[in-house]
Amino acid sequence: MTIERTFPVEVGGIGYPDYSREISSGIERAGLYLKYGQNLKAFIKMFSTIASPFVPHVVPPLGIGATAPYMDAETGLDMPYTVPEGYTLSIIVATTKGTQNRNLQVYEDGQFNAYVYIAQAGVWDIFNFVVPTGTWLRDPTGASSHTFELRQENLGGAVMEGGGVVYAILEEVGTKPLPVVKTVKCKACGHEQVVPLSTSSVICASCGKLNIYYNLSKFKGTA
Amino acid sequence: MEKEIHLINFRQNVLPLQGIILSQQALLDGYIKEVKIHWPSGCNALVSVRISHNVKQFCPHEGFLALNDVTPTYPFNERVEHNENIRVEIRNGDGGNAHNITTTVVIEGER
Repeated sequence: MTIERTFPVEVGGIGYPDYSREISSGIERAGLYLKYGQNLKAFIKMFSTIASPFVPHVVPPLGIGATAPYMDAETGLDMPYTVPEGYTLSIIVATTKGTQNRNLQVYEDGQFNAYVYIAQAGVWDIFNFVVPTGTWLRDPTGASSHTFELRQENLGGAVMEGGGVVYAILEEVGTKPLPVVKTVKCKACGHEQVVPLSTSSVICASCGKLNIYYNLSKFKGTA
Repeated sequence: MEKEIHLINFRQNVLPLQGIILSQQALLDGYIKEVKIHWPSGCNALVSVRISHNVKQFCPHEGFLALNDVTPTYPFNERVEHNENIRVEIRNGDGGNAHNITTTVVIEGER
């Protein structure tokens, strides 16, 4: 058998990976079903006075106004976590409990991006994200690697015990986006320019400032 | 001369938004008696297939077949000659997934 030639084809829609099955995990209770090419990641930190010599993610209480990175639960290494080229990372669930008000900050490639939550002392919160935050928003095809970091900040007036865990999906991707244009506006000077729809980082042609936008061109719906 | 049965297998993982033409020569003078095409589940009618020998498309008569999670067998009686090119054209219109398509062509004839 020989390959005579290959050629590009127009998109007709989005199917599923071969032999995959869509299974509803919400029949009896909220659940999770990973599709082919998806992997579960857990990032965690527990601040406690309880000694735990064999559990890397249990550390002493968090000081007033202090911040500390979460940890890759699989390696014991503090974040930032490097999302490899060809992959995206999407946060799907965050749980937290603590003795002080606190927030969880998201940093991507060293830049502050968002809060996962701002939570109250003494309240146990669970966040299930309908539209997950993550590297897929700016780089849905995984064209390059990115660092991703979660930092816990103690907003209270005393040292904090508690912490939380964040579950994310690390997914193999790689399909090139379709070339559709959009008009973006510079945050610094207001200049508008036309760029491909898939563009997320833009240097303004007028003032030269960097602007970063969401790229939703590959969104395939929620789980 | 005894009749022989020759089975030609075309199997290719076709990338998203890729079209591809596979070809192989018939080793017999005879007839294409059967074509079997396998679409894995997930293709969702986005992967189009057609088969021809030399310049004549015969499966289907015109246009393309595009199914999902099925392996149909189609009977034919197409005359082919030794060294004639049998071509399978696959167009994957799925914008997000590659698909592994298998096509089997059965020829009955003589060398």
